[in-house]
Amino acid sequence: MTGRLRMAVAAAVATTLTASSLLPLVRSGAWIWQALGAVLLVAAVGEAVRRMSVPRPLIGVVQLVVLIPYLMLVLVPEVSGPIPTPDAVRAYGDLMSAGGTDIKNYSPPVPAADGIGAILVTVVAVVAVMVDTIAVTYGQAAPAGLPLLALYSVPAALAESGLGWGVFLLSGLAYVVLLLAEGRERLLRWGRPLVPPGARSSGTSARPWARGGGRIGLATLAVAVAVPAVIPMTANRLADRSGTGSDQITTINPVVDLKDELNRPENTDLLTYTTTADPRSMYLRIAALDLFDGNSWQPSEQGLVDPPKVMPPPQGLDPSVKATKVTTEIKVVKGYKQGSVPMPYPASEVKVKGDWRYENEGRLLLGDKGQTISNQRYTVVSLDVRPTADQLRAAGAVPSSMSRYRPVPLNLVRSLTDVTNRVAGSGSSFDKALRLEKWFAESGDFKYDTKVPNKGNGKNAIDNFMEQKIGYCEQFASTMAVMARILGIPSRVAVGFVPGSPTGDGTYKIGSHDAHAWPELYFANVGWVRFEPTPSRGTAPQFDDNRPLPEPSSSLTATPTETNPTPLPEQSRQCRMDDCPEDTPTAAAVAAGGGGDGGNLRNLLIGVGAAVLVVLLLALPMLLRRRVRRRRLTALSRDPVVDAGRADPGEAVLGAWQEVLDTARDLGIRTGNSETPRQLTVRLLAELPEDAEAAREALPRIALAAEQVMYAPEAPQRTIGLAEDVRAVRGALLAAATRGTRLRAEFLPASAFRRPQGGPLERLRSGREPEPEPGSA
Amino acid sequence: MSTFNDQAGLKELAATAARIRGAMESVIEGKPEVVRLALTVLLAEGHLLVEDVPGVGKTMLAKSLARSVDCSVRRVQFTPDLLPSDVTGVSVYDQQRREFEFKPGAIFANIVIGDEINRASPKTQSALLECMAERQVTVDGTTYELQAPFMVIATQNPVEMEGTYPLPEAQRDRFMARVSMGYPSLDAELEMLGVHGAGSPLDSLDPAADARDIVKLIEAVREVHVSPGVARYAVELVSATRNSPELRLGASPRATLHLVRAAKAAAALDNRGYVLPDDLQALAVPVLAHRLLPTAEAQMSRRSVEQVVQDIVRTVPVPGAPGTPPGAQGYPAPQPAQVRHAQPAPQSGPGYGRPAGYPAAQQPQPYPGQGQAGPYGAAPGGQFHGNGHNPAR
Repeated sequence: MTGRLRMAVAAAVATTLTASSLLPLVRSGAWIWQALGAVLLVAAVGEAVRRMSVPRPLIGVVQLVVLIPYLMLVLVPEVSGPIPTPDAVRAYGDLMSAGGTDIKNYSPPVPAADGIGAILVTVVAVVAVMVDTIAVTYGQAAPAGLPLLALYSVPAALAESGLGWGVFLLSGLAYVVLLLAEGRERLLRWGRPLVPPGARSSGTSARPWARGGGRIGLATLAVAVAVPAVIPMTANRLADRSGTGSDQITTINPVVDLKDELNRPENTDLLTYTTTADPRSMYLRIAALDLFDGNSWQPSEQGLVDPPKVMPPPQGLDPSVKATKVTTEIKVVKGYKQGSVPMPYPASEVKVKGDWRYENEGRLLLGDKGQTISNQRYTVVSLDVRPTADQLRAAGAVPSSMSRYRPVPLNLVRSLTDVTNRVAGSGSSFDKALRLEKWFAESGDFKYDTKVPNKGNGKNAIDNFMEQKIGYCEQFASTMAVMARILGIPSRVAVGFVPGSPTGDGTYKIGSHDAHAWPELYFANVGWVRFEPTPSRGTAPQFDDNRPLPEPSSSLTATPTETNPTPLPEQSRQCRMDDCPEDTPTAAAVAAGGGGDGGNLRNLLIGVGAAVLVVLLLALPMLLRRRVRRRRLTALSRDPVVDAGRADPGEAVLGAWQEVLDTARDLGIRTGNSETPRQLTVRLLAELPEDAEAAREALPRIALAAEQVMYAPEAPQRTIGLAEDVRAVRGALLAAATRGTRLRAEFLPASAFRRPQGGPLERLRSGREPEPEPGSA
Repeated sequence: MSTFNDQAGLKELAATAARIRGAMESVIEGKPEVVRLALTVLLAEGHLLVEDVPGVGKTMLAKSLARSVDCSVRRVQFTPDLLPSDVTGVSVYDQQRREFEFKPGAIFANIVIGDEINRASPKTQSALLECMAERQVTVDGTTYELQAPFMVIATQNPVEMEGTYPLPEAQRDRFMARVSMGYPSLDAELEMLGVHGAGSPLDSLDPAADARDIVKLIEAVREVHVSPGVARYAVELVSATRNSPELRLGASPRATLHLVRAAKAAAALDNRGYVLPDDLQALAVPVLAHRLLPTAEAQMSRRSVEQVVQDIVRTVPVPGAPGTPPGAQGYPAPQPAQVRHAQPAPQSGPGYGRPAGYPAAQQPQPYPGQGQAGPYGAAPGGQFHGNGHNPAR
């Protein structure tokens, strides 16, 4: 096999291995055989053409030309003969465009439609031509990695959670194969390697370069696979922290991001809590959406800071407003991977483990790079703000800083102004807001139903909602927030949970069906105030009001101190199973962190196991080396007289010498094959410090003993003292080395990587019979 | 006088050798390695070729070796008109007895000093071939055995010098080793001025051993152990010269024999009962270099044969395997090759094969390979027995 042919084979193998990374994208892999055929064809044609001494630029062209009928025959066999007809080309084009459409329509893994298969085969064939041209025709294996990388990056970009390590390994291996083939070829171009006559017969050491390169490549691949398995990808996070600690990050939008979340057929328990506050006001927030562009509510970009011990006072809250500190202990079930800490508003202190960042505008704690609250137990100290209706009515002009909470798209302003003004009537902003709330929640005009034709919270949803007066919390909250903005009241939509249902032992339980959205309106000197426009969901906030209110069903008469959890279960259960699943915010909130599939413990175990594995792998050379050393020293300490016939004292002595050799190698002292024990001893003595008397005396003893075993007719019988000698020499050599060298000798001992049978000792034993002694004639 | 009893051991060999060395070094100053090599060749039953420019002490080396050993010594001055019969001997018709009588030539001695050997014609040089290789002389159909020990020490000037005939390859191959004297160091030359100024130091040289001692030494040397690994190492070294791209002519199998024998002698001189790869390495250049012919390319790139041999020594891996099965007690059975010895190996004493230098208490110096020149220098001289005693006469 010539070097060039070997390169051609390597190129074909590399392309095939890399193309196999496309397999996870397609459900059925029938196309891979066609692609394989194309790769083989390219390699064969390339080799044939190269043998005919065609100019190099033409070789790739010929390969492409031969590919065309192949692709036609394979992909559109019904209209194509051996020579491509215009019909066949047209059919091929149709197939490609059909494939393009399919790709747009499906998400991976896509069904193996003909069109997609055609595209894949074509791409692989073209890549094969490129790789073959670069690596074989032009003899440059390294740049041939570029088309391979391009091929690999397609599935890498498309696969949602990245490609598996197996696929990466295959593709990496492909490139290593290519490089190895080229490295060997390049070395051989310099001529036959000069081998000492003794080694010529064995033939194994003829390719040390290729072998070394292969080992490096394989080790690199192994590290590349193993390291990310244990080290979480924290690079971005580190970058975040390294700055001022405050940078713009768009918080997650649970409403919009997770619209496609599937219905949950049953109410999954998410968290339980105990609280010192009025359970009915315990709305846990996980998001605050303040931007409304007519299509949807979005969280704006806000600065994130490290969570302060005590959060700043809530926006706009005047000290005169009654606010009591309440403490809530929350326990989240395992698997609820929410990236935002559900907290009552406004929280002032949070004790939660993990990497969290604080967003002051929405008063949220957001998980940093995948941090979730799954399986966490945390404590929140928050304020139970109880403004009186008078205080709210007396709220003055909204500060200009809040103007960003007021924009409403013009077309919505037009369509909603009339009805808003009619419902809100006149009076203070608070009165208007209260009337809006009651209109939605208590007038009976609106019906709560999750099966609305237009989901979402944009203009279309609001228009439909106002027209049909059917919707669920998302539309109620969105519409009321928009109307409040029309009235000049700053508003935003909060996403979270309605108060949970009591379990009986003082704790409350929140399930996935308790997810909710509600508007928050801003009043000067009071701050953000929650409203509850959604009928039959949650509880409307209560405001101490000396004016009697006409609404009989309202719970406004309840005093702030009243803690009566009994209505809660009823209210919660009003969300029945069959109408809750489509409650988008519910599903959204549930899976905001990315779906709760795996157990934390299992991941932890896998992580720990992988870490242990990596540590073991890293420590393997050291362990092997220690084991070898211990075995050698034990063999030396054995008394040959006691267990005669069992142990070979000569072997033990050789082991002692080998141990000295290995120690020297570990410390980076080169030991030559053609160096006798004496020569090496002289060199090692130069390395030893002058004051290491014991070692300086011990080293020649070891060398002499080894020499006798190897060359003398009679092996020395005394081995026990040698163990101490070996220790002394080893200690002195280590002491003479620098710290870095010592560490390397310990953890990455060079001798652990040497194959023991490579030495002359084994070759002599396994080789021919010893020649008769050339005695004197 | 015999310095050995019949149970000669290596220790006594080393002591005797040290005495000879001491005697020689009192004449040849500052060249211990040359003296040692000469002694090595003597003990290895080889012939020594001393090659250097005139006046550096070639003849002095040969004569001092001859004088240090109490045996018959002949000196042949090779001149262009020297005839083969002058070397080998001639049959003369005895009128009284009416028969031919063989008059032995200069070769019939224990030590033959061939001075300026390359000044003789190739015809005369060729007369040495049979004596050197087979230790016998055939004149007029009659073969005469040469006595043991027999050693030819030839000196020659480099072939570039005027009026010389280069030695034929066959002749060079019969020399075990070639040694180059080299110029003495400044101190040695200064000291030489003082000593030689007072008279020839050879005159005061007392022999340190006699011919029988040497024969026993040679027999002891034959018993030095060569492990199979070391033997193979020797073969690999020699065959490497045959495969080297820089050499036109590699070394012969005779070179392998010479190399191993010389190594045995060197080991014995070190008071060691077995050959080390170190011995082979140290002897590779003197034993191999003069037999090799460099290629034209190597000559063009000014690579000397010595450098090529040194490179080969650096390349060939040293054997690392125990040669004999472990646990073998005492001295091993004679190797197959030793059966061919004309004289059976004498019974070894119980302590003969004991490895030297181990444990360390045996020697104050823990490493016997180093700094051993010291003890050799102080050998007491033996009793002077005169020179020129020739039993063949």
